[in-house]
Amino acid sequence: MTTPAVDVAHLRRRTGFEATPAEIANFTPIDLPAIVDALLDFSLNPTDAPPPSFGDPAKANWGRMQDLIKWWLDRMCTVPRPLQEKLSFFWLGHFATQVSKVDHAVDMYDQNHLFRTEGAGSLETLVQNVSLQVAMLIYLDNDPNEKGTPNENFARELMELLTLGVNQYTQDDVVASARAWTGHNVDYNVEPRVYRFYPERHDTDPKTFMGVTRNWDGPEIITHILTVEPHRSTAARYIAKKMWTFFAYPKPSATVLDALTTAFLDSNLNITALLRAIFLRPEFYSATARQGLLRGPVEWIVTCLRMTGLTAEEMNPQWWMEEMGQELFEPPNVAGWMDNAYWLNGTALWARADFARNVTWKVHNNHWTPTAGFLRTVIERNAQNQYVMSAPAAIDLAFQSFGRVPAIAPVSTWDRGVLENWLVTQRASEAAPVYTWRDWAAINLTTMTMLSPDVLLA
Amino acid sequence: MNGEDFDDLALDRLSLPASLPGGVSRRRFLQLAGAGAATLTPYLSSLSAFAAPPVGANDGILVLIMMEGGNDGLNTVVPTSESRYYSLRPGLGIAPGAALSLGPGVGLHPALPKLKARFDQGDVAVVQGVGYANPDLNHFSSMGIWMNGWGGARQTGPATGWVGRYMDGLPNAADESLYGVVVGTSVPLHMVGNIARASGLPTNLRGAFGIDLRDASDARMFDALSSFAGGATGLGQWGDLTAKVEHDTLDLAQKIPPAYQGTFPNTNLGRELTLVAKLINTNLGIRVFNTNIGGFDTHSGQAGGHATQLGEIDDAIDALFTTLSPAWRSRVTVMTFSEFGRRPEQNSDAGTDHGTAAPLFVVGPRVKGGLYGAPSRTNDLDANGNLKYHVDFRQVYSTILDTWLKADSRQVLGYNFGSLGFFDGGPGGGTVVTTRRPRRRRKRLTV
Repeated sequence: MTTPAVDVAHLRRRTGFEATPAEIANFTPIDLPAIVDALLDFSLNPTDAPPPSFGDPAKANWGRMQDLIKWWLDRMCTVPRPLQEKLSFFWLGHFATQVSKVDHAVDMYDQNHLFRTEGAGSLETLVQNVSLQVAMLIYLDNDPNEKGTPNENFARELMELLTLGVNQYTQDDVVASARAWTGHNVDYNVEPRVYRFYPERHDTDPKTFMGVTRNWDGPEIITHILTVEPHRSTAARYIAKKMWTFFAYPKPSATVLDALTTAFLDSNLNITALLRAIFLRPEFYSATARQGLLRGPVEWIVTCLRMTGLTAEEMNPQWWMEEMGQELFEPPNVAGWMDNAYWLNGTALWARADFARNVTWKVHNNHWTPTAGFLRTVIERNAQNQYVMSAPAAIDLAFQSFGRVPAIAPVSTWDRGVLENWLVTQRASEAAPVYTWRDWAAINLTTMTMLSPDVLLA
Repeated sequence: MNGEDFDDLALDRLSLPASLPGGVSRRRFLQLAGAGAATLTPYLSSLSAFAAPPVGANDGILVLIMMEGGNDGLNTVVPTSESRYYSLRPGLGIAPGAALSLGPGVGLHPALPKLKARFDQGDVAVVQGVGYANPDLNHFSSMGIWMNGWGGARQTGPATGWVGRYMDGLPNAADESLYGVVVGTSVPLHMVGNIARASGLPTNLRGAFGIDLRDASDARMFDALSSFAGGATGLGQWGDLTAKVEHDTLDLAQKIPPAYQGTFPNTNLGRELTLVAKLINTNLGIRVFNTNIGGFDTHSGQAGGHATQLGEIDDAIDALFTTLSPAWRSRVTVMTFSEFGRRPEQNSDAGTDHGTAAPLFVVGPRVKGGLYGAPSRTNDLDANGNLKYHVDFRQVYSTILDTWLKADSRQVLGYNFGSLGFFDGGPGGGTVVTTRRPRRRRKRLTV
């Protein structure tokens, strides 16, 4: 059975960072479940190792973070199964941890590596492992959380943000959990610093958590939340909703949410099972889904790089990311990033426009490197004096090079009209013959395509 | 409210659009744009999205400083005569001799000398014991409650904020994106109304897109990108809103560059408040500004970091008023706020965990300086060992709305919270507008 190209394009866009016509065509001959399985086959991706500068003692922490950001963006651009990276990015927003507090690049890499290796497996394994990594221990102040004066920060967010959601626990549960996590600290006397359990700092007195009184230990709190009803179902629903919102659209119906929750519970909270359920729901392919999300900065940056053949290493997108509102390894707060309207304001759009212009110039000036897309095509055609392209054909080609293939995902009729009107005027303003290597119409059309509502939508 | 709705509410609270798609009026675009691309040419010149009417001589401007993370009230306004404060905070308490005295038993954190000088001039209202009933100790829920600010019997829902609802009442609110400005990268809930929505401005302009029109090809490109907003994109509400915000941003690029010229302080907040002052001097019609400073979630090693953050605020407020031209100073009032205060006792990490009530500051030449409300006492705690509140935060809002912004606080807040009376003059040369205090005290406010 075949799958409509329009659905393949949508699925690949949401599970990755835009797809080329060839990448879409590869999948149309097979049925949807087989496509989903293929996209979830992360064994095709190369294993990861830290960026080379991590081994260079002369490279300071700041420089390592710059390298780590570029390294991750380039991985997003290039791996054959980008869902692994997109999922890791989802988990960074979920287990939000800021490098500005954690301070060491290597701890951020370790967490990132965990998301990549455990991010599609058991939810409980993932939560347990994240909680005992140095990054999380430091970020939510389990370090040092000691008997007698427990620190409530991690205990509260573990329930509120990481597993159950608001209003699913009491302040007494927070206090009991905080006591259960005492002694789960960081050992600073070794290099690199590591998680260590200090029995003498641990509160061994009975504590009442979720109505059960005993000598709770931190990891048992996670096991209880994720294996004992009704908490287990609450957590399944909370995570299912958040993941659907990330991949499909906000505020799913109860029908969708019930089905996802059931699939997740039936799999014993296996994340791959939840993802498969999401991508196989008919609602995932609805108009609501197609128009339901805007690309956040990371997703848009990677799309721009991937579709032009540029690398983060040469573009340094991190210089624009703070103003766009999304810095990798630096979520705005413990709740991670919001969506949609969050990206629409002057500051963020200026930063995107500035980046789009820089991408355009990099493509334009890269005479000797194999960048791709519309602008390169035009430049090459101009060089051969084959520059006569009608305005509609030029616009089609420009959008196609950013993934909006006319036959599969047509561009807004209104937006096309605006661009055609502009292109005719622009060409008329240039003295003929104008289509040299510095073709202003083609240059600006490239920038405008990246900034069109069509390409800004996910 | 079930868990799921509540979850939506908490996650949506900090930053979200007005009730879309009705929240963004497209009528003006649709009227002008006609049906197709051929009619586009005259559209841009007749469209003026940022035409907020100028601020008049007797209109007030409000500048908000959002202190993110939960500011420690006890170490901001120090109860220097409470022995229990010092016994609860053996390493963290601020000694009576170090605090900057505001009167008997009350002192400011030593990192606030400039605020202390303004207090001595009679320009600072210190509102003590500010909070609300049934406090929520989660950052996002509690900040959401502060931002939402609705005190009526029925919730309007989480989708609007108190400044947004104030802006809703200004002329042509749906189309005037400059009534409210956020310096930073996202628009927080309190700046979002049912129809009004604030604009975000960057702290640095660099060579922002859309500013330089000298190149004809560039100008044509900016014009075309603006024109996406001239009709329905057919891409749904987010496509349409993207087009609209792109248009507004390019329009704004023509109006704001002068405010970014000159020198700025080195700190983030100093830069933001200096920019605010320059934007006010330019008179683009902006009524409310939001600025923010993080770093108040002081669970560990609080002393040094807290002093740094307070010192940044101290310098930044000073930079605001010294950058304002004299003609504008008496039309500007600053208010600080944070989602909650902190626990009375310090924790094992020389920090403090999430707590409840805290003081806030209202600053400006028309403020009647002094202490307002009542301090939350460390020897009079609630059942959870937290500080009790004595002033509902919406009483601060209602005082500002009625007296300073000349709005009807009952409409904006859903209830008449009365006035704390911390203004001694209206904006500019205007007189104080007084509102009646509520006759009966409500037993409990629905949050």
